[in-house]
Amino acid sequence: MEWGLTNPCVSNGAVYADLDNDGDLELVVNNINEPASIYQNLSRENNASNYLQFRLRSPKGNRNALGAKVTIYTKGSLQYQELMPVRGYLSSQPLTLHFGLGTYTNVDSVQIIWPDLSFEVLRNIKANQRLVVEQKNTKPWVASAIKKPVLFEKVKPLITHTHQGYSENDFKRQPLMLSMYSQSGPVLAKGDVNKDGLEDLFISGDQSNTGKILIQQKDGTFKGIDKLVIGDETTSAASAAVFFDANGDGYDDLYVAMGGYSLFEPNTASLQDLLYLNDGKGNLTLSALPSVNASSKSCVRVADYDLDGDLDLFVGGRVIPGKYPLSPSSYLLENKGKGEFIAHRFPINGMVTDAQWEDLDQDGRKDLIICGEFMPIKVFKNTPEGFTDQSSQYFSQEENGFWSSILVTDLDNDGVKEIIAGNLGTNSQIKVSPEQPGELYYADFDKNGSIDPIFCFYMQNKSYPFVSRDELNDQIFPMRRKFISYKDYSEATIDRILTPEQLSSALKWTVTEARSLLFRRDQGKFKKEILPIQSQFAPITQILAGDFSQHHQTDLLLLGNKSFNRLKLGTMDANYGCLLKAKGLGFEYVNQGESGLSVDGDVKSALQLRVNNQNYLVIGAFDQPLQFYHLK
Amino acid sequence: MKRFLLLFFSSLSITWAQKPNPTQHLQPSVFAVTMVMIHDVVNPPAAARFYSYCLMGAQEFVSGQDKKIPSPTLLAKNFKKPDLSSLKSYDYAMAATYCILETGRLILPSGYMLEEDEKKLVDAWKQEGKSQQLIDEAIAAAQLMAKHVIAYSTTDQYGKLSTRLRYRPIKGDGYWYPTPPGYMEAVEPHWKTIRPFMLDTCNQFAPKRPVTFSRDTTSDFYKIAYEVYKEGKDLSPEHRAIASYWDCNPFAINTSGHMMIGFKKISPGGHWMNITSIATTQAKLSFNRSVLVLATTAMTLHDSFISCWDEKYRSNRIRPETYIQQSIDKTWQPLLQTPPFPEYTSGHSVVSTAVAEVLTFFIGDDFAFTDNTEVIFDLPTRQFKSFRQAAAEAAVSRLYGGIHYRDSIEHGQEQGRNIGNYVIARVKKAGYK
Repeated sequence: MEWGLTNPCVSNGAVYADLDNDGDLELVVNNINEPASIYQNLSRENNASNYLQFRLRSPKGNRNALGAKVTIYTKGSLQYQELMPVRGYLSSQPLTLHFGLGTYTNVDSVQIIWPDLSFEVLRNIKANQRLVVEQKNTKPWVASAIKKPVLFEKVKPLITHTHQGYSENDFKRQPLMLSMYSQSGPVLAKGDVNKDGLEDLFISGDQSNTGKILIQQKDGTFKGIDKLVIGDETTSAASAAVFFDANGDGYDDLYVAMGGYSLFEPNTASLQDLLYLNDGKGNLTLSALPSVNASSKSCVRVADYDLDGDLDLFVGGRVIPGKYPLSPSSYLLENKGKGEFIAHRFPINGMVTDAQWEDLDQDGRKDLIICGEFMPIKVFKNTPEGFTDQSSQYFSQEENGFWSSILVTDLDNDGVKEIIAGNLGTNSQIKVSPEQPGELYYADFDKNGSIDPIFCFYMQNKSYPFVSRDELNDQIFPMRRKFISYKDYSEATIDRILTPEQLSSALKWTVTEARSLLFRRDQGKFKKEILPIQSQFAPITQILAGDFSQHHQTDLLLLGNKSFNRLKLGTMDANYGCLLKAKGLGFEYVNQGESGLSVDGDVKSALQLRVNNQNYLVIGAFDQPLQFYHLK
Repeated sequence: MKRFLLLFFSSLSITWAQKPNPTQHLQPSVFAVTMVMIHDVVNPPAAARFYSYCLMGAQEFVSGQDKKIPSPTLLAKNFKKPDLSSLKSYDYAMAATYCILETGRLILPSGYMLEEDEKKLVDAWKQEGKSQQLIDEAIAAAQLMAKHVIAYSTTDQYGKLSTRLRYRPIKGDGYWYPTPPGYMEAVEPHWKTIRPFMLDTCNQFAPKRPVTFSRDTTSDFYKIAYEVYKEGKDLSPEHRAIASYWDCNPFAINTSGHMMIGFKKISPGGHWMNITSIATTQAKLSFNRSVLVLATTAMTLHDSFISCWDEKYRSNRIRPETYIQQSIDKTWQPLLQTPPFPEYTSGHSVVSTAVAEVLTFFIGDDFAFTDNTEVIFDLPTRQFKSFRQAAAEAAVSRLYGGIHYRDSIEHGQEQGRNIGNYVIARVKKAGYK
């Protein structure tokens, strides 16, 4: 079907109104330097669809009943509108409320709540008329707070802590990045520091709080360890942490990985991770670590990879501050027992965001599954001789994504584990596919000592640079001479921006998949399944699995959002806690009203905490108070 | 006898007028460069840099022929003599003139526009009867020199500007913050990292400290702000004319509803380059001296901007518009649009004073001239008794225009005078007589 809007013009305002009183809404558009356009709506002429309109009148005062709320019920569905004709500066729509009814010719009932908070109910209204309703004989309306049972009950935080991040602007350092990397906190980790059976909590610092460990008391309150300050957020930023027994004494020690971006320089103390060893009495002291400061880190994952009886670490490299998008260093920290580590560089192409240890080939050695930005999900097989990239044995094709989190778990209780991988989602301008990939070209094109990253993706079957002419000129001065007008640049593709020599010397990252996915094993290989559309509304940074809906199946809870992006990309914060209920082999999104989740902000950490024999979900989001949900 | 002599002289002058004078192409060539910079909205510090490189080759050509003209290699830091051994013979004045355009063509964002001016110059030469060989030789020499200058220009750290941390306005009272109506980003916050020609360092002539910031109505700062406020409120027609004349804002934004229109104008440096052209012509300086004066003016401008911009992003001082609206009268607006960078010191005061000293040295004090630079921008011509008078007026115009405090102007003049005198000493030391 054609819209019929074919006249190209510059418009800066529009209203809709049923000008010909036939039950559909015409469009009036005002155009710059041209007469206004009126588009007659032919819906009623062409389709036999139905409608119902209301014109509300009050006897006095607010005579047009502005602010009235009208709900119409038709065979199990409802529609709701408020009478609010104001549209923008000095603009208004008609005072008529218009409801389209599709095939329904009758409305079961209509509830009108008048601005003075009195209400009335009209029943059995015929469609296709404009109903003029005078306010009379109405009854006082009281908001009925019907409390439905929810799966997650939002509760007053058991720990009062509001994250207060530094206001960084990473684009002042590298203007062509797609998003910022400074916002890494708050980092949460749980452990049992004093071995009293109660879970204790690490919370990273920020501009107002120091990093601290809170010890859970018998009464369910939390108390900080005296004089213990973890990390220095004025010169560094914690980005991941884990409690584990580093020295084999049975007590939890703490590893804090440093990340962020800010003005941090690689190979300086700002990016050096910290290890705190527990003396067995619940006192933690800073202990030596080898140098692991070449990059900003994203994750710390624990496993005894060399089967020598102590716990080793994989630390993922997120980004090199100032050098996006070069591959940062990741590390394998080999424990020599007693918490002394040897650092091995773990070479990976791409910017690692998450990793998991899992013995995929069941040879008794845990393999490493790694995901990241501008890279596929990778599987490194753990052999006595070292790690070998065996991704192609597990994936029939590379799924290059903006991967931001990964979970490996057996969702369907068949003894074979699945991979759940969080990605950017599809609710952004960036659309990618294997046929039309997003491509990031990078090199020091103008040879001035800075990396020039140019991201391109397809628009209407052609790949254009995402970066504007002004931004490109600001990054590469000689471009001013190349594209002398905006018009000229508007049609430029990467092969015109770069010379053939520059293009051939450029490095390139590719993205072909932006959706968050589930991978199930099928004859050894991981086969992708696309998670429900609600999972794709925002980037997914935290994935939790559990029987949240108490039906003896494993559900998924996806948390995320990403607000610190280029202005042109905008804020991606449409995830309020996406609960996916297992249903057979599939998943079904649970409405926020039923799940009870209304998570605010960019989620950086999430964990389940047991306090007073009750289970809580604790969520740490950037610049937000800690959010607590009680699990039923 | 007397009559005869007079006749003789007048007939001589007629022959002179018929003989093409290379100086007549100099001013149009510099102006062609100016026009491209106006088109490209080149910001004031960058404009001074471009002028300097455009004239450097010309000066080098001239110094090769004239012992009285010092080579730029004796003035400009790290500038080495070009290897011109591949050239057999060429007319140095033609090469010098063409080199101005050719360097501009290579270095300016829209340098391609100068191809037209190069063609015009060649046509003029042909009209004058210059042989094709003479023209080809001059162009070849100019191209070689321009390439040499461009290579030198790539080592001045300009290319590194895009690798530096972008400016963030300093949070806190008293610091510069972007101003209406454009709220444009700070212009060239790292300009102090650009290599100066003659100054040892960007802070060699750091100005006196500014008046201490305060909101207290009895403070000195309030007083200097109140002076700007009062001046703007009771602006006399005379002061209004002076402020408008010296506006020199390369891109003033006019808003009307949702519409924004940018008006392009000559930069302060461009204005002084043109005054230099006017003065050298009026003073009938030789081609060689004219080139030297233009080139030295350009380098003085460049070094002055580096010195001034170093201070601007040291003190990061709040503009009168911001302070007055916050503390005195929220409806007050300056006559001129506040330029997008910190207030202290006044750039026009620094560069005008420095250049006026240099021009006074070369051409003399009490040199009356008529400045018609702003005529193409629909402003009248203006008469000045001397370069120093013009510079003093340019400096104080910023107070009348409501964009600078008095200490910023006076300290800026002192800063400019120091730079100007230093340049003069350097030029003398390089052998200028």
